[in-house]
Amino acid sequence: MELPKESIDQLVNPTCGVNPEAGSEERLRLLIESTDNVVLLLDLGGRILYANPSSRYGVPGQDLIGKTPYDIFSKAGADRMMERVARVASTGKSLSVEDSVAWQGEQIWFHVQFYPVLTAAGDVGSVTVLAHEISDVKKAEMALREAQERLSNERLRMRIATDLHDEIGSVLSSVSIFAGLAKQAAGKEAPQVGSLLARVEENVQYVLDSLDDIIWTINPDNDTLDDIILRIRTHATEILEARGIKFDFSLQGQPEPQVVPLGKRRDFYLIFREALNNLARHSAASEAEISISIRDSVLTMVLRDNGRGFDTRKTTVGNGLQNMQKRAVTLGGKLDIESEPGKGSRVILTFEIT
Amino acid sequence: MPISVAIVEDNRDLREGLSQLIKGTPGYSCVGSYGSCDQMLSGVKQAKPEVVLMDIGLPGMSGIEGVQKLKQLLPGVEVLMLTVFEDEQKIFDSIVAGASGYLLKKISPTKLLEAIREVAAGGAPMTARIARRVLEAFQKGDPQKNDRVDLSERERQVLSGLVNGMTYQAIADQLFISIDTVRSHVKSIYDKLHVNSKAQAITLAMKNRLV
Repeated sequence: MELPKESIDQLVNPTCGVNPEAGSEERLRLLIESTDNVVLLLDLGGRILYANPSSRYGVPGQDLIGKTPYDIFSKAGADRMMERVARVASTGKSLSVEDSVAWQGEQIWFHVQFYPVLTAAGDVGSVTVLAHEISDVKKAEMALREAQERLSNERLRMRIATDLHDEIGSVLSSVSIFAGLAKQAAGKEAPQVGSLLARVEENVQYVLDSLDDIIWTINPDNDTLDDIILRIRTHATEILEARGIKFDFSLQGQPEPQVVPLGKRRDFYLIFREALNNLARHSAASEAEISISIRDSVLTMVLRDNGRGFDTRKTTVGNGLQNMQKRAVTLGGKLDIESEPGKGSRVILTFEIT
Repeated sequence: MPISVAIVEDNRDLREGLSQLIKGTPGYSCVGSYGSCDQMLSGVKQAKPEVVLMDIGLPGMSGIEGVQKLKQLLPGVEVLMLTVFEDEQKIFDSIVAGASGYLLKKISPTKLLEAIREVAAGGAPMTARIARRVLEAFQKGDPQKNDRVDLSERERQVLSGLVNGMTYQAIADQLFISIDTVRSHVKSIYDKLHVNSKAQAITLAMKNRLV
């Protein structure tokens, strides 16, 4: 069966993409048969009376004739379609919706228009369906919405983290100060109390530093490579100089202001922190060096010291080496730790930035 | 004469901890401790501190606005902002408003006292990230405008050293100058920034016919 003339007339509508100036019925038929859009004519029971041979979806129109939406779509999709056909039949008015169907393993979005086709008696006898694919637009819309959600999630997370940090940070700072004052008050009369309080102070400082690191790594303001390298440099200077370790920093290659994804930024920075902590607390070194080189978006960081070294085969649990290895794996990078007793140590991390 | 210090901090424990630390250390005296900017502004003229430690995130009037008002009351006072984390924008805004630097709250008591002494002696601490913002602020300036002051060559060198994460000592070594000279350059950079921000405020006020 061919598409009835009434249907063609109704499809002559600027929104359908069919040019109303096209003229003869013959030319309109040609347009409908060659368009990428899907044109169907359904009776009120849902039986397909006509389907244009839109080749885009790999099914010849001829094959669809006599079938119902239930033969083509999922039950839910077919139900929706039938409900719309019924609505058009009862109201006599056209209908325009956006809907998606799973087609050959892919989710396809359509802008679908339903037009009533009247019988000679003036009743709705059948319904023309024109479906225009809008997957690209929909996908772009969804990607945009997702990106917006992600961004606002990130901001929200940041805000919660900073609020929490503000509260906890202030209280912990006061604990650190009070512990320091108490330590002074204990003085020489109660040296044991004093040394316990010194440990309280030290541990509180450690927690404050870790909190600071967490906030820093999740803050979207710090997401570029040069931010991270600057932080590494200033942090290492601060920690090592406080311990009287002579420190050298070198950078080869240009750290462009390129964005490092949150996960990588975090792992990279925390590997550095762990390595720096080990160096500062356990190495007993007098000199240390950090060099970072960047080439073709591969970053290599080397931390070297002239300290007492250790046997890498006898790593003790709790010094964070396993943790560093784990992080290197998530980074998709490689971590080498080279050391021998009495010969200092070298920590080499290589990973791809993007 | 001990260095007189006042504290503006809404967290009571931290406020008391800081004031006890300062009171208990020879060479320092705590002349005021306030839970809000309003309290500080009504009491500070009498207390006349040399250095004020000011929390950035205060309820009510923010620390940034507080600095501005405080500098009007006591132009010679040195203000160090206290912050839990390095919120670059807020820190920069408070420096433009007249603060001489900032301290992280996690700072150790020894370093806190050192920083107070340094700023009272006319020094001005500046970290790499803030240095970067300061450099940008000078670069953005319109050189055609003669009411703006620009940085000297030396000040630029000091600033770019800081931007690269160098310590005052390393900059001094590189430029063959003393660390005190580096400090005075940094101080002068801050002063120029304040002058420019004032000039900008006046230009803006004139534009809006407020002056």
